[in-house]
Amino acid sequence: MSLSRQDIQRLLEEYQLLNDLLASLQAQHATVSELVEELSTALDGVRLLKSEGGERLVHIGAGIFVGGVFEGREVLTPLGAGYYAFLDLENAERIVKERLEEYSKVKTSLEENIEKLTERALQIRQVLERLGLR
Amino acid sequence: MAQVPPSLQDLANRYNQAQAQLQSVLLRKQQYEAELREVDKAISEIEKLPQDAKIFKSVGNFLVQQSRDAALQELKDRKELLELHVKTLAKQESMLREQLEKLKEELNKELAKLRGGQEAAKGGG
Repeated sequence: MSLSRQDIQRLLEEYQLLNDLLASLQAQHATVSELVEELSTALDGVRLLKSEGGERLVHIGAGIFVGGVFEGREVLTPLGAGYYAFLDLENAERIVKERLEEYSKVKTSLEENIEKLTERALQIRQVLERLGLR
Repeated sequence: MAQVPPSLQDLANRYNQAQAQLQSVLLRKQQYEAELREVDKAISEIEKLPQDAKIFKSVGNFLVQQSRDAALQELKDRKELLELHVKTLAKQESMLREQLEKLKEELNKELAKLRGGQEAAKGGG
């Protein structure tokens, strides 16, 4: 396989571009993963409130839990764009679930793109290594 | 290595500039579209609520209570403004794409001329 200097230059540029793009996508993936985690926790919380039962233990940080009885059947829920409203647990669950599904799709899409780009970067890297340039 | 003619250099600079502008426009358009989706979602949720629903708006670290109608009006105004931004940016985007297409054609012509000149010089040499 013989490559011209121009071809090699192009490969090096593409490799650099792919690495920059991958770094950006991985940062986005980390942010989205955090959101998915947070929404999953919120969904579990809302479902727990829906179930019958007396006292519940609530985590207030650093592994400390406080016992309490929840009497309210409504929770202040984010509606989007900085607005909140007191919603019954059914609707609160629906909203959190919708958000979770939305972000999970984004997460999957990011993972697919990262995989494709990583594959291409690896191909280029192998070519450059064979040419003794990496 | 042959010197790049100033005309070609100028075209290349203009092309890169237009490309950078397009990237910036696309990024801003994307941000406004995301905000628009968020506003739409909030509107559709608030419309489902009863007239006397307790609605709160986030202002810094505070939540300020607002009536359903006031919240809807504010969101609809914001939606209108966002749609205007998106429309303006979409126009800018299509103009920049046209500009890039023209510059690309000009660049190709200049490069063809340059190659032709080099071939002639080789033939004559």
